[in-house]
Amino acid sequence: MSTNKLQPGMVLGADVKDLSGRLLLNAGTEVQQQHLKVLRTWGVSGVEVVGEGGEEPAVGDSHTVAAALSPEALTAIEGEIEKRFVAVTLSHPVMVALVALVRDDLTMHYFDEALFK
Amino acid sequence: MTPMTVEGLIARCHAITSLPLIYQRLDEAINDPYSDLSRIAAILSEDSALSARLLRLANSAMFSFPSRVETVSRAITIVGTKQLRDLVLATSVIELFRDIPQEVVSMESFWRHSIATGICARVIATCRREANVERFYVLGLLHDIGRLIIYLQLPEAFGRAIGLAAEKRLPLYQAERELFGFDHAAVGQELMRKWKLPAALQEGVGCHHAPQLAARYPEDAATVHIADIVANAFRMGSSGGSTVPPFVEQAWERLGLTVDQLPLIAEQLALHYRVAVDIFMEH
Repeated sequence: MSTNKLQPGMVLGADVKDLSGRLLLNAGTEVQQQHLKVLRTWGVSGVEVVGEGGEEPAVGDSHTVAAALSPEALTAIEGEIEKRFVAVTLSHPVMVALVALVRDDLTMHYFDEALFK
Repeated sequence: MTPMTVEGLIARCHAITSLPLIYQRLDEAINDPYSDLSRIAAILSEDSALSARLLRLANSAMFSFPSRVETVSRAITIVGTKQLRDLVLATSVIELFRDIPQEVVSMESFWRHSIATGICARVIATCRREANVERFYVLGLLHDIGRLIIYLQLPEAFGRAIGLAAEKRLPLYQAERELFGFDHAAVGQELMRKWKLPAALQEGVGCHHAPQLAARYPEDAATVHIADIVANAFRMGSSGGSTVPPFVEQAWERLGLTVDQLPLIAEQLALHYRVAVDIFMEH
């Protein structure tokens, strides 16, 4: 789950490491207030928690947000993606993953814009 | 009219024939086995704007240091002298080009793209547990500097390259090659060479669109290649093009990263990008 949603009392389902692989917290640790600060300092965005069901995307809730956008906005997003990636062959898994991230990013922007119109 | 060569183009740039004095003095002090921390700190302290920028950097999330860094000496011990030299290089180069008027492409947009690429390269280097991550920041920051040279020296020709790229739906660097016989990567490499910067930087910049051609430093080239793609994908500024450059699969394989590290990389990039733009671009 996203670190933003983590609460004291939850138990970590897996080891938490920083970007370079260094161990920060052990699996089985019961999360406390000071752990939340550690996670934020080291830029950890998502952790596994015991008892949570299924994989949650660590990159915001853009799937639910996309459902709230108008068809015009969704078309504009796809058009923008096509334009940006016109010179790239999209077969490699990392490019597929990158496009998905860009789509999420654009979705959130369109959503923010719609909110503040 | 004799066709323009890369060397000819660089030779025309009088304002940037050498790196700022403070960088040269710092480099000399760091390489001198008899110099110590206080001499290095003294050199830095002479430039109050630079010192302030470096302190902000040492205190930023990019270094995650648990307590406040108040002095230049402390900042040096935290960041390390070699890394510090790279950061001074980064700041100096931006300073060098700061007051040049923008015509064909927005200077601010150019630096945003360069900073984004620098941050992304640094993040990738961190994931790969590189010993000195700051040099990857410099590599990313300087990767498109050749383009800056091209549009400052040949603004009309550059405008035509942009037009050709749009018309034929080509990546901008391919349009450059068609029109000039060389691209901005080659120009950047020559500038790095003229500035006597490390070979790894020269090859990284020179091969950032063709990392498979990097003979001595393939990881540097691969890192900046991927970082440039990611920065363009999220459109964090622009160096003139509006599309993501072609992806060389070998570069990804070379780095040894996994696909599920990509979201982490993107998130760290987003996290540090704003702070870096703020620190490096404020007047």
